[in-house]
Amino acid sequence: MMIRRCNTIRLMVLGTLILLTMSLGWGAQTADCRTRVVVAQGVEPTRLDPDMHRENPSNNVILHIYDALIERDWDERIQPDLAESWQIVNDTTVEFKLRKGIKFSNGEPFNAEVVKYNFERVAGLLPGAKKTLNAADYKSIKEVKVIDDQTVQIITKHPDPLLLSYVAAKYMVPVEYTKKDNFKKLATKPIGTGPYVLKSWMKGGELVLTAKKDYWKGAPKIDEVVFRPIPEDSTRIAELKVGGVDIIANLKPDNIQEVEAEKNLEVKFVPSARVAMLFMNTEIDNMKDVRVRRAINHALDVPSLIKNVMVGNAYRVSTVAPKSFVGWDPEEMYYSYNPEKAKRLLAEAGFPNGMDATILTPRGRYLNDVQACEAIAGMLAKVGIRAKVNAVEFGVFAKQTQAHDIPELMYAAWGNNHFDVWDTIKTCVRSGAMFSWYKNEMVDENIDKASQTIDPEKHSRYLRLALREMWRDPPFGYLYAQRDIYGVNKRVAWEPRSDEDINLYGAYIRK
Amino acid sequence: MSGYLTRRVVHSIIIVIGISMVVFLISRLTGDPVSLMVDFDTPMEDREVLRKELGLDKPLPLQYLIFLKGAIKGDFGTSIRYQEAAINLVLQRIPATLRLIVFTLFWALFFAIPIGIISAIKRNSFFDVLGMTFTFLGQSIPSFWLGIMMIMIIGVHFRLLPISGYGGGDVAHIIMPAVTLGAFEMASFARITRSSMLEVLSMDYVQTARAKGLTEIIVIVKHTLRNALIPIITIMGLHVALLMGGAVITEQIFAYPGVGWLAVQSIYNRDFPVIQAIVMVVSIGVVLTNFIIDIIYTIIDPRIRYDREK
Repeated sequence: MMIRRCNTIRLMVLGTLILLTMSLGWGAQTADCRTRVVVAQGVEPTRLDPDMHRENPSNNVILHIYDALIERDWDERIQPDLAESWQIVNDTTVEFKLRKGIKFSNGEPFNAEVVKYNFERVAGLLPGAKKTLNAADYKSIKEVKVIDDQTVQIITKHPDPLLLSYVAAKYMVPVEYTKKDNFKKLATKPIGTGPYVLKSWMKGGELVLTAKKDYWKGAPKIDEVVFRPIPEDSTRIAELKVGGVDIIANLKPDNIQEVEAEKNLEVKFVPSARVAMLFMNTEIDNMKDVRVRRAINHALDVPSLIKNVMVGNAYRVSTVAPKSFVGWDPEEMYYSYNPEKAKRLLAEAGFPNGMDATILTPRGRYLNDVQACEAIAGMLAKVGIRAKVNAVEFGVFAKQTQAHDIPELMYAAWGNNHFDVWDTIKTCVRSGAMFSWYKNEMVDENIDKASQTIDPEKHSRYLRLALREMWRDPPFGYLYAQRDIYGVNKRVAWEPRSDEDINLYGAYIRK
Repeated sequence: MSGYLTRRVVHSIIIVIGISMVVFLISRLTGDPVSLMVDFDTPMEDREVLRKELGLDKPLPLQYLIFLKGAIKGDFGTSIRYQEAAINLVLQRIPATLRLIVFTLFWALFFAIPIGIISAIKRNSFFDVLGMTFTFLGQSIPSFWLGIMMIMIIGVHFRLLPISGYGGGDVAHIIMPAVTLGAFEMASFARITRSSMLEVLSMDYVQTARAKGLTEIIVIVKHTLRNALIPIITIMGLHVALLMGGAVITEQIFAYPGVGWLAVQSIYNRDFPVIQAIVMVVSIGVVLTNFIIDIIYTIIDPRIRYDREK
């Protein structure tokens, strides 16, 4: 009996020892003088062909590998990149002067022919090439004309106010390399002119980029940038705390304190281009009367929403254009919080006893989306609108909105890659557009006029007119722009951007 | 035996075909994958292009036939999200998950069988109460909670083990996921060992063995444990399927790049080809495991024969 028990105990002790030894072995392996920064994202990139994806996690990797003709700086202003200058020739023609002597990482030269090839691909003018996922952005392009080796003109069918913004989003891919197999290899083995090259990519694990020492803008200061997918929020934060990762995006407001409490970590904030809006379906009878829609705006206590639901992580927006947007109205006008007035307006509109409504929202897609809707429902209840929150998984939400089938109210935080409010209202307000449940002729007219001019002055004047009419006759309950929150290890000197790009070129390691 | 084997193989194939049909239909009832693949404001025309490219515009029965024809050749189509052969994505992830499951079973049995044996032979003693309390906890703690607690305590506070990822396959990265995944299994194995041992211990032949003057070790290991193993092996076989399911949560928590995480991601993105490939590969795995378990029975207990005639 005695012997048997001893054996069992001995085995257990041995097992524990084995486990401990293994874990000690792990601690000793990190000794590398190369600087390395690890970024954790919720999901991993899908494809590294810049024209064959439409998501941020892929874009964050892609922007390190490729360059565009022009780029947005940290203030979202457009600056030269592969093109040293550009000029608006007329309402449908822009001319770019290219830099000399730039090469792709496989040695192919960058010149006007490359630019032509790239824009023809996305505009659907390249014979034999598959339609790209960003094709809709470039469908206004009629022709790309090579003037000489260093000069190229993009000619559009009609004035396209967002052309420069789209050009800034078009990363240049090499010609010979992609011609061989019709862009197939590009998706997993990218070749660009950018500051980094892909070293390795283990699906589900690390994607490693290494710095290009001879990058034409100067060698990057960080030798290796690693992207890792970590789906769980709490795991991402834990990894940040132990130094396993250096940058995490989409930190939740509830976790700010937890991260700030760590000596070696800091929390970074940046105003986001994502504007939360309470869509109102004016195709439903109850919502037709402008007084009902104004009543809803007077019922919303936006400062309280920002303070209590968003925990300060949002900025109030008078309509749908925050300050960084083209079309922003300097005379910001806000609906006052006035439940009495809201009740009166409802009564005048024929609803003295209030009404029933449903708020559709995706669950967990936007910062505190469901909580915000519940708070909004509470505010509406005070003026007699009995609102029910219908929170659904994003796939269901997307399907329902695309089928144009939404209840009285819908909560969505709209992204805007162009920092131009035209992009938002042409899809969410212009009557007949995919996500518009609203019709106002004056608004339509101004949106259309804004789309016909490439002159920035005129363009924004029409947008302001549209926004003012949208304020008077609201298609939305006006809310706030979100604030993006990042958790960063203090050893990395890096600044987040309003466009959600995580760009490490220019970042460095603090000594 | 060979007659039995043939019958089992035929049954297995029918099961796999049935599964393929169910999976194919269910995955298509849940929504439109295109709407999840593209930006929210992508125009309808672009969506149509994609839908056509992926063959989602064809009628359902035709889509199924195309799927089945490919599946026989191991071709489950191209992942909608990754634009890579779905089967390759799954096969790339299989080794990581297999490692996790083998490691989990190993540690679970390593602790469970001794605990079960001690609890059985020292029935109602302090060891028994301790062992059973331990297993009771193992069975009742939700795995995601256990995982997050371990991350916070072992990973963040004591910094003993790496928190997430695969780390090139070193053992340190697998310990926390395996403990999380195996806590429940360990407890189940220990309880089944205990009850099975208790049953066998009361048998006459154990009395006889003791009466013959055999040492207690021989009595326990050779006469009792061996006879008690059949239920343990059965449960183990069933639990391999459960482990696959448990791996889904565990892999997600620890960002462990196995099939489970791929499954969650694919379901979330409605990546049909990958979902189908995963379910097919996993169900073939489970069918195979059960097959192997049946054969192991005959080795452990030579009295078990599968032939009808003899």
